Amino acid sequence: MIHILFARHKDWREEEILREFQQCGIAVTEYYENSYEMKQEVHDKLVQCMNKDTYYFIFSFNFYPVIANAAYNAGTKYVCWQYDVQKEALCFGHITFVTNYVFMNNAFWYKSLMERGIETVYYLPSENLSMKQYIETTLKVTLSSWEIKTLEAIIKWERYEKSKEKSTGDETIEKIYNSYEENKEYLFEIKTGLVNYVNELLFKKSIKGWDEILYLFMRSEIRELKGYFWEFYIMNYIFDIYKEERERYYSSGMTISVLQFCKMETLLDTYFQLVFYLRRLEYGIESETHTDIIKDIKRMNISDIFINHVLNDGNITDKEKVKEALRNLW
Amino acid sequence: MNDNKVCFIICTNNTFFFDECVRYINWLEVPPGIEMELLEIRDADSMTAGYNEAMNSSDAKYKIYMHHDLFIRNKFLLYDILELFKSDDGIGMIGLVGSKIIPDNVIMWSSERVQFGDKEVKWEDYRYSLKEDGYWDVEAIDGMFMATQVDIPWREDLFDGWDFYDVSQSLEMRKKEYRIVVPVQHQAWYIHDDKVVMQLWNYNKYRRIFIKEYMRGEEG
Repeated sequence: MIHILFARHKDWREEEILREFQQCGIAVTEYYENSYEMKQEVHDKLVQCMNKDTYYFIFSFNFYPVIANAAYNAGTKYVCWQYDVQKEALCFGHITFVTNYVFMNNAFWYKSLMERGIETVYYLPSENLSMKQYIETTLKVTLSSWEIKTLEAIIKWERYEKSKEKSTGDETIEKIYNSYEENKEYLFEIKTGLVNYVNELLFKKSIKGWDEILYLFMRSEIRELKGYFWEFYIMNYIFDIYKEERERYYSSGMTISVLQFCKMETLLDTYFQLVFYLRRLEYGIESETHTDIIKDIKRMNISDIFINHVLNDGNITDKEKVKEALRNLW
Repeated sequence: MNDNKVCFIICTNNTFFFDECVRYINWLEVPPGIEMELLEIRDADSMTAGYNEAMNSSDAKYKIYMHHDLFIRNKFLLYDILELFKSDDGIGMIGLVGSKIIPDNVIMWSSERVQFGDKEVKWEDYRYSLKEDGYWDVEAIDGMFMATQVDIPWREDLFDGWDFYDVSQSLEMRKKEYRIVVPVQHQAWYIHDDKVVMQLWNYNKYRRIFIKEYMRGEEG
């Protein structure tokens, strides 16, 4: 069951929305705040609340920058239905957060935001749509099936973990190591969902897709997975590559080389292939093939940023030697 | 048994890593008169089953059981290992990381592990010397690299997974009164791409089996 956090704001229309969500089979936890002003304490309370449980997204009627900011920092999607024109709120930089899904009823405002290059807004006029259809469209745009499966698996795991906490107390070695056995099924289910979801996002070959992956890995439950699966551990190295490439793209327009990868498996294979190649250059392994190695690195079409990161993270002892070999053979 | 033969034995499920691992083996300096063999074990039921199968099929006196994600970077490893074995027939097994004492909880990384010496040497100048660098006597070694000069069956009757086969084999060696040693390395002889994350899904199951088999007497 989809579970959302509803940030309430005493708007008379919220009651009806709440009822409709529930009738659509969505579990809703209500969150009340007197004012969603841009204040640190409001932000912190929201982040704390979102980290306490796994919500598919946080929802509000109309857009609030403080919620957008908190959702981004908690790695949770922020869905809102923008009905009233709030010029100030929409002009805040927070509208651009990749975690936002802002459904707008006002065509003029939607167009003006789109013209500013903002990709987090969607035009969804309410005319001719029932509330149920409106909710269904919102969900379709916001959540992919693999994302839903991943979140479902996370929730199952969390429930299981909570049930254990009640029954046992001490942190014995037995308990710590048993947890691997006990959690195995849940963790592999999450892994399957997550890999497929990441692949969906990679397939977009876009900054938005990659940014969505980044925020996804900011979620505390997903951060934990890197302690169980090496794939997610290595992905963190690759995120650093992406972030640096993205920065350069914004400053100089140079291509982001990691965008070419459609599958996590290919991305990780390329990462390790490069690690292996650079080490072969360092130790002089199969030196007769080193020219071919350079050809293959060129064929990979990866950036100098990618190569430098692997040089630093790939257990290379004599980095200068490898750099020189690259320079000479390139 | 062929006294001039070294056999590398690797259980693998990953061609990409295995091929890379083999590149480093092929790169090693081979002492004159030494024959080399490589056994790749695929689809093994367990590490012990795979190792027993390979052990029984090779006539090499010296066998090196290792992980497919271990890349040997000491070009003279074969010289160093053979010199060590030949220095003492009582040395049954050599590892590259070991535990001087098996801790009570049998979690090997919770006790002091030995591998590195304290001499600062640049990699390009580094060369192991048995006489100067020496080795440690240990109770158990890490399964990433286990070189033997005697064949002792792996306990596939007990360890039918991928954990604890290394500590078990260490105790089997010691039961037969062989020493287990780890050369003092001033530079690591290998790169282990175990990718930081340990696969501990069945670790506790085999830890319990190990305790029951080898430590119950000590507890009692």
